[in-house]
Amino acid sequence: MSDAAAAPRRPELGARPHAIGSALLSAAGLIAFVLILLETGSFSPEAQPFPRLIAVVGMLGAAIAFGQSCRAALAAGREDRPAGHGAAVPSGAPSWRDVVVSYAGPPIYGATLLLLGFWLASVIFLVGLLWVLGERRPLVMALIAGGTLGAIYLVFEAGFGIHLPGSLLMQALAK
Amino acid sequence: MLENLAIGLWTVLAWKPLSIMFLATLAGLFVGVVPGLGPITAMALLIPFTFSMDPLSALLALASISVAANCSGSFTSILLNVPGETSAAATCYDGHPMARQGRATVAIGLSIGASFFAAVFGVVLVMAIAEPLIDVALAFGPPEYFALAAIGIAFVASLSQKSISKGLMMAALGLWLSCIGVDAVVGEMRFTFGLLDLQDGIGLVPVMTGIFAITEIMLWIQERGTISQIGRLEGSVWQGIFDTFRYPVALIRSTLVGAWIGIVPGVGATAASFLAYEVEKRASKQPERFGTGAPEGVIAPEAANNSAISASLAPALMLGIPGGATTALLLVALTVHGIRPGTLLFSTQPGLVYGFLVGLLFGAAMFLLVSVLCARLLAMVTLVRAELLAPIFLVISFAGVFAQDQKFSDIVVAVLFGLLGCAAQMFGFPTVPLVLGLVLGKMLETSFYQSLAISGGDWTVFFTRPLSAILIATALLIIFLPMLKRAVAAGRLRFPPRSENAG
Repeated sequence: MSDAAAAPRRPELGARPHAIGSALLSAAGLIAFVLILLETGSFSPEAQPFPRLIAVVGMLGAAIAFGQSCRAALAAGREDRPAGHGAAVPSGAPSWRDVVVSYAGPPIYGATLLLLGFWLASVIFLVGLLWVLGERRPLVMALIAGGTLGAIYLVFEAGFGIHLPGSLLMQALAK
Repeated sequence: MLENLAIGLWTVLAWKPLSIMFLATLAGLFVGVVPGLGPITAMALLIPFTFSMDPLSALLALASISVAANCSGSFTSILLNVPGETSAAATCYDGHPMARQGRATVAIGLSIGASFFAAVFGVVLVMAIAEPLIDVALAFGPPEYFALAAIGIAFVASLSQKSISKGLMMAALGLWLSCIGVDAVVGEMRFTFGLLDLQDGIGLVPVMTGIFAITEIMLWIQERGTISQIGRLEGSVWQGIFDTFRYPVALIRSTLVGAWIGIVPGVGATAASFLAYEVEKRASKQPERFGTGAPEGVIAPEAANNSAISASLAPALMLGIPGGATTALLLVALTVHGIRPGTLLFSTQPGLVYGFLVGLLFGAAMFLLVSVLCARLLAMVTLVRAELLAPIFLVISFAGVFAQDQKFSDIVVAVLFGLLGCAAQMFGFPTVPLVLGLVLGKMLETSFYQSLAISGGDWTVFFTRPLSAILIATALLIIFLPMLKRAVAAGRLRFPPRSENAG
């Protein structure tokens, strides 16, 4: 097989949404670095130079990126106009449901972890996410949940003696 | 040197050190593939068990677990696009595209071959020319350290060829993250927003897990299917190992880059791997192959990070200056056993020092053997559907993040950086400069203030010392030359040459 064989590409946004998103993220970066620069004013003079240098470099990078993204968005808009409304949806774009699940999954798991503790939250999350992603075989779900948590127990708790988070809810109830 | 080699062989060729190294290698291999756990955690947890061992066995156990965990950290870079260690992040660029093409085992073979060659080369280098190497390392003062870290960040920012400005912004973000917590100069709190958990700073493990592992898992959920896009594995581990030696120039050049970075204390294997990758890309006649699964793109970072780790033993053993966290833990183990590192160590304890160095060669060979046996099994993960992999790896990643410092806030940090990483990837912002900024931030800041202190606050100190000036100029060229080239090219497009118009 040739070395130059291209890797399969991941689903990508259209040119215009990509450029607009890029401009928004650059703008957020620019604002963040301006705030960082302002915050350094509250430091003692000896502690100011390095964070200020970083803030200036960050502002420079973000400002150039913002300019480039705005230009790309305008160029993409001009290219889209003759073809009709908006850019074509690229092939292989993920479904909205999967996008929502991918963004909501980690924060929900983190919050459940805090409330229910690692072990209970992980059982619920593993089985729940497998089900949401289309797995319907109970035996497979049980094997994956049991195998994953068993391996984690062996490595972390039994092997290294690291205790994983307990449940805040249980602690509150116990009081 | 041959006499030293004989002393080392005589000391290490016994069942006890060899069996300890084998067990440590096996443990390191599995620790390395768990996101969040790495050589530092493994060594830190192993240190108490080494108290009852003799000094040589203790050093060999720690070094073997570190080498194996470090090398296997690259396996997750290749298979899952999730580096087990920061030093393995550069391997993602070409290792993971190979896995997506179904060539995961070949990529692992390349990684094993390059790691083995570089580890052996690094150890031999330490045994042969440790003292002249130390002289080179001592030529580096704070301005040169600052310039070297700046060049590392510039290289990585420039890897995002489409928009260097985005790379620069992300690198600055990483550097800012490294500033959070107690200030290095006056000890005041910076950017903590009154949160107690931020006083210790932002940990590397939660940021890395968030930006690499959680982002990747989120993308798996969106993509579905298997990592190997052809649904099967092509090639073998041995093919990869043999292929490593089909690129001798890339292998030797990257090993030398790694060794050079390794002997300079504090810079570390991560910067070495990115530097070597960039050097290979720029030296290649077909740089466009990089990022699409080019074998040199796996060989370069793997050779560099392993030779850097081996070479960093020279300043650690001879001067007592650790090159990174892993060598610092080795020095802790030495001190616990009542041994003081220094130039006299090589003459007063030759059995221990050369036994340890020869033991590392055996350790590298053991890792090669164990990983060849496990590689195909590990590569099978690229054939499992993403719907099954995503929940499993999310749970393992969260456990790894919490295990580091047992702080719930680390999980929050990992989730936030997972979301940021996903947005960054969607809109073309490179995430590696952010991680490297966080890794090199403390060193950059310390050397920056030290440079100003020795020059009495004169900022020109970075440009008046020849080595520092050359390095700073190189860093600026790396950032601004492509921008300038692009601007010139854009100008040419707008104003075609007169001869064409005339025709």
